Amino acid sequence: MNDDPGVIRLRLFIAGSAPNSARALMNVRALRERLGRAPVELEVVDVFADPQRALGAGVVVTPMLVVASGSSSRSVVGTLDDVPLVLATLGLEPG
Amino acid sequence: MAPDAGPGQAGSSTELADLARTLRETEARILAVAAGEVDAVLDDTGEPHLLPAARASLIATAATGRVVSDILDALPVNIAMLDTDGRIVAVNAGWRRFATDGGPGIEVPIAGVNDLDISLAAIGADEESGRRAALGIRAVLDGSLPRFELEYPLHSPTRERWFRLVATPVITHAGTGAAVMHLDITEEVLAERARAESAAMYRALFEDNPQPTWVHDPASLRFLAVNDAAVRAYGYSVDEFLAMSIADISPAEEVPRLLESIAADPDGLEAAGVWRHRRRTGEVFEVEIFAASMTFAGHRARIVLAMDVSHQVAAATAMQEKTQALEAAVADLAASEQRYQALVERAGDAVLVADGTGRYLEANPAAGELLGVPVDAILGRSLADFVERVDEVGDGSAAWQAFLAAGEMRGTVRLRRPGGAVRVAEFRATAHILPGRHLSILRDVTEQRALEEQLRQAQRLESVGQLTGGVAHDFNNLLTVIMGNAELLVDTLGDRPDARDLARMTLGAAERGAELTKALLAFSRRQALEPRPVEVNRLIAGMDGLLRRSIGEHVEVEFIRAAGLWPALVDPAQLEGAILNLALNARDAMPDGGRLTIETANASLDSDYAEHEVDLVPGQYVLVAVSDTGTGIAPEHLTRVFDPFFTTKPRGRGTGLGLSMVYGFAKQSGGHVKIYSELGSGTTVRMYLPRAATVHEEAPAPVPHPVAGGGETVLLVEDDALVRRFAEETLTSLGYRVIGASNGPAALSVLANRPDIDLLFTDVVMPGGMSGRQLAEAALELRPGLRVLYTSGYTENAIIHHGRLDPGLRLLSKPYKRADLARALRDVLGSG
Repeated sequence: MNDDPGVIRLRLFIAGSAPNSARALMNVRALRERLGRAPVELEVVDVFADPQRALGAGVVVTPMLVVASGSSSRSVVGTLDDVPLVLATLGLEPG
Repeated sequence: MAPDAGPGQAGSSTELADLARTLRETEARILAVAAGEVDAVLDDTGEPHLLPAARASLIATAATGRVVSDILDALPVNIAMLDTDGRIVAVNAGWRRFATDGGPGIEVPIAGVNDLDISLAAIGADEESGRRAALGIRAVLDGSLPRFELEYPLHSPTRERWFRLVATPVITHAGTGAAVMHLDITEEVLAERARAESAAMYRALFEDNPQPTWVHDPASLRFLAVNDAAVRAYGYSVDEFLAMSIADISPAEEVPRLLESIAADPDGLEAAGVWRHRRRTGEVFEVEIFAASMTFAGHRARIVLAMDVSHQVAAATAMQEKTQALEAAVADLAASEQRYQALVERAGDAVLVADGTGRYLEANPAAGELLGVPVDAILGRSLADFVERVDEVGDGSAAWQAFLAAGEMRGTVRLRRPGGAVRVAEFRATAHILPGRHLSILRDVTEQRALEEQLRQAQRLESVGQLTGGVAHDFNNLLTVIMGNAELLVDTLGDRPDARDLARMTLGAAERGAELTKALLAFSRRQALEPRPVEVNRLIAGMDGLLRRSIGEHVEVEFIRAAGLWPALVDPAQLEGAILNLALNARDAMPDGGRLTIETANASLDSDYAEHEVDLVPGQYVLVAVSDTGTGIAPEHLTRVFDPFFTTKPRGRGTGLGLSMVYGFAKQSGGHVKIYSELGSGTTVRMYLPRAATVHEEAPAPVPHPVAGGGETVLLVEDDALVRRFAEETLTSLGYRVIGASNGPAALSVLANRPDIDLLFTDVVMPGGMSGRQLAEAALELRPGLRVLYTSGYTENAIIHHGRLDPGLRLLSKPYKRADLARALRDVLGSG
C-alpha cells in the first residue's frame, strides 16, 4: 500500500459475503464516492481468506472499517449505514 | 474448543449444553454490542467465527446461489463472471457451450483465463471488434462505464454468428468484477440483413425502376405508391399521384377495358396489353402494362409496370404504312403498266419506241396502220425505211444523233406505204424516256392537211372572186356604154358601110368583153341566178346536139343517166353553160381523141364525207360527173384549176375561166365541185347540185317581145354619168320620155313632183346611202303600182337572196344592148 501521508487509507474487513459485510462493502463504496476526488485507497480484506491480516490489525469482529490517515488510525464496526456518522467518527468530511 | 471435548464422549451432554448456551449468549452479547451489524468474531488466533444470523444467511445464500446458477445455466446467454482483473471466475452453461458451438478445434476458456485476453483474440471475431470488446470490458471493470454493449460477429467455422456482448459491473467483496454476457443475435442480424436486402430490392425493383411503376387499389383504382419513373413519365408529383386514380391518367374509352382487365386479377406479373394513357400535358401515349396482385400495407393491391411503347407503336404503324404504301405503289405500277399498255394499244397515234440506234423495239397497232405494214415488220427497222424520200430525214444516223442530243424533235414526214400511197404524218420524238429508249409519236395528218389545203384554196378563190367581181362591175358599166353606142352606130351608119363595119367590130369586141365579165361574175358567185327545179337528165339530153357539134367527131360522147334521178334546184341556163364548159375542157384534154362521159347519179353525202370537204353541207345532191380520157392534170396544177385565168392551154386557146365559172356556179347554187385527175389517165369533174323538193311544170319559155318602144315616162336612176347618158339616149330613141336622176333621194324628189312617171329604172348599187332596192321600196310607198326595173353590173344581196332573185323582181344585167333594154321595158310595162 501507499504510505503517502496525504492519502486516506480505508481498509474494510469483511466476513465473506455475509450480509452485514456485504452491506458495509456497499456503504464504504458509497462513502468513497462521497469523498469525491480526495485521494482514497480502499482495501477490502476477507477475514476468511486472510485471517492473519485481521489479527495483525486487531480486528475482532466484522465488518470493521479502519481508516489510516497519516500516523493516526480509527475504526468503525458495523454496516456503516449512517454515512455522516461514519464520516464524523472517522474525522472525515466530504471534500 | 477443548481437544478432549468430542461428540463421542458420554456424560458430557450437560457440558455441551452449557457450552452451547454460553455460545449462544456470547453471540447474542456480541450482536448486542455491535448493534446487530456484525457477521463474524475473530478469536485470538485470528480464526473468524460466523455469527448465527450470518451463518444462516450464507447457507440461504448458498442455496439461492445454486438456484441462480441453474437459472443462469438455463439462459440462452453465455455468461462469464470476471474478477477485477478480468479473469474469468465463473461461467454458465451457455459459456461452456461456446466450446462445442465453436466446432472442433476451438477451445473456449472457461475459468482462470483473463477474458480481456480472450476478447483480444476472440474466436471468429475481427481484430477491431476484439479490441473494442476488451476496452469496453476494462472500462466496466475500472468503474468508468456502468454498462458496455457491443454487437459483433463471432463466426464459427461452420456458421455465421453474431453476438451482443453486454458487460455490467458485479461488485463483490473482492472488488468490482464484471458479468460478461454474450447473446446470440445471429437470427436478429440475419433478419435485419434480410430486411435490408428486401428494402434494397424494393428500391431497385420499385423506386429505382426505370419503368413507370405503381401500386394501386384494385377497387378504387387509387394510386397507393408510385415510383420516380412514373413521376417523370406522367408529369404528376408523388402527392398528386396519391390523390388520383388510374382513371385520371386514362382516356375515358379505356376505363371499361381497364375494369375488365383488373377482374382477371392474375397473381403473377402478367402482360395486360397495350393501353393508352394520358400525361399531365394531355399528350396521349401508348404503354404496355404488366400487372400483378400483391399485398400492400395489409391490403390486396395491384402492382403495375407501364412501359412506354409509343415509339414502338409509331414505328410499327410507320412500318405498316410503308408496307401498305409499297404495296399500293406496286399495285399502282401494275395498274399503270396496264393503263399504259391499253393506252398505247388503243392510241390513234402511232407510238414507237426505238433503241439507241433508232431501231424500233416497240410499235402499237396504230403504227402498223400508219405505215401500212404489220407491227412485227416495224420492229428492228427505223424511220428511214418508211419515209417517202430519205433525204427528208437527212442522213439517218446524223439526224438521229442530233435528236438524241437535242432530247426532243418535232416535224412532219411523208411516209410511203408498201403500195406506194403517201401519208403525211406529224411526229414528235422524245429521247431518253427510259434509259436507252426513245419515244416517237406519229400522227397521220394526211386528210387534215388535204382539208387545210382545200380551205386555203377556197379562201383564195373567195378573195379572187371579190376582186374580180368588183372589176367586172366597173367593167360592165363601161361595156354598157361601149356596146350601146356601137350598136347605135351600126344602126345609124347604114349609109357608110366602111364605118359601119368598124362599129360592128367594136360591138363584137364589147360583146366578148361582156362574156368575160359574165364569166367573172359567175366565178365570183355574183351572177343573177334563177334556180328552179330542173330535171337534169332531160336538160343534158337537150344539149346532145350542141355538145356533139362543139367537141367534134374525134371524141366519143357517152351519157349515163341514172334512173329515178332527183330534180336539182339550179338555174338551168347556167347549168347548161357549166356542162358545156366542162365538155370543152374535156375536148381540149383529148387532142388525139378519146371518150367524154357525162354521168348523173343521186348522191347522199353524209357528215363523214362532208367533214373532209370544205364548205359542204351534208345532204342529198344530184351528181353530174364529166369525165375524159385525156392528158390529165399534174398534181401541182390540180389545186389551182379553179383559179380564174389559170390555164394550161396554149396562149389564146382558153380564157382560164371555164372551171372557175363551174366552181362559182356550183357553189352559188349551194352545191359543190370535186376534180379528180391523174396524168395520162384523164380527168373527172363532179358537180354536186342541190336536190329540189319537187319539179314544177316546166314553164313555157317566154316569147321574147319584139324590140319596141313606148310613150311612157321613165325615171332613170344611175350614178354613172356615162351610163346614164347612154341610157337616156337609148330610151329617148325608143320613144320614151326620160327623167334622169343620179341617186335615190334625187329620184324620190322627182317622183313626188311628177305624177306622170310610169316606170322606175334604177341601178341596184349606188352611192349616197340608198340602194336601188331601198329606192324602189320608198317609191312604191309614194306611188303604189309603180313599175320597177333594176339593172346592175352584178347582183348583190340587196336583191339576190341565197343565189336567187326575189320573186317579182325584174333585173336587167349590165351590160345590156338596146334591144335587151327595149324588151325588158316592154316586159315590165306590159305589151299594152
